[in-house]
Amino acid sequence: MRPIEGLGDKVLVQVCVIVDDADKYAKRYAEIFGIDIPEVHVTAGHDETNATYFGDPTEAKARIYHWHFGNVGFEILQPLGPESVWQDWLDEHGPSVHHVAFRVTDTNGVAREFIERGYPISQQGFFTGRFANGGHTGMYTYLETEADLGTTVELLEHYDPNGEVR
Amino acid sequence: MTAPILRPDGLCQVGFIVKDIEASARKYAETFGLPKPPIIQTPGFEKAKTTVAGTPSEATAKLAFFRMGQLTIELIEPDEKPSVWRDFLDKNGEGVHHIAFHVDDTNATENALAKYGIKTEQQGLYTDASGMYTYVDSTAQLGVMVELLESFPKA
Repeated sequence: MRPIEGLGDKVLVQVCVIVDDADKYAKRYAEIFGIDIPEVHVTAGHDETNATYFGDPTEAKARIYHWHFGNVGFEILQPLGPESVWQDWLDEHGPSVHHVAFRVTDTNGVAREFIERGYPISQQGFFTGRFANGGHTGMYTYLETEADLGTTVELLEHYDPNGEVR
Repeated sequence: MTAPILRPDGLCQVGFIVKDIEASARKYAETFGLPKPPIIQTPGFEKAKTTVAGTPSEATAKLAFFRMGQLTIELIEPDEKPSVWRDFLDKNGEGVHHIAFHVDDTNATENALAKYGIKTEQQGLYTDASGMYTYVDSTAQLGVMVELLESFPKA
């Protein structure tokens, strides 16, 4: 089978650790890595993100701290409420690494290749926040790759602020 | 401001425990279109000087590495002897086992982490003895096990 194309030069751009108390873990990371605690990012509900969980709309939110560890985004994520892959992961595994991410420019095309290989989309949504033109800034997609690849793969697509309004 | 215990930009690796390294390495290579790497068999105590919870150990593993930008994916198939790798496989099955950071001074880092209750679990030399690895149990504090990687200065 041919490899999946379009995965941002095969460069991993993010590691995410799911935790039960983002504030507590952020403080520890700040101490041990000598970094500031950034402003917490709380994702918006379905109205804003159009998030879907196994194809159905979900109100699931998350409380996130994000740093740059060199060129890699490092994320601590606390699920807020049910019907999310985040909460499922925390319930099943406790605090641990949930996903690694690639940057993409064609989410649908890349996701289709994963789906063809037996890795369906588990959760998907727009980023929280809008461009000045009112358009969404980008979207995330989780693929169910854990059984074969040992972790969830996330696709991150950042939209062009001067491009099509989506 | 004192120097940090770990440097954020030292993040270099995500380590996975697998049951069958041939199958997992093939899956990674095929899925991402990467060359299938050599499978490395780590040596026993005489060469690797492996200690588990401070005690000399004959535990070994098979390793495969995929470079994906700043991060390298490491696949680890443990043998049956007690180790952090075997422990993880028995308790959790396959999955992400650790994230690794480059360090300059393993002992100083271990001592500083110990003040946070983060203790060394397993330690040993690289297969070619060019450096050493140290797994510390940071799961409670950081939500993930951390590995310290120190490359020795070239003689």
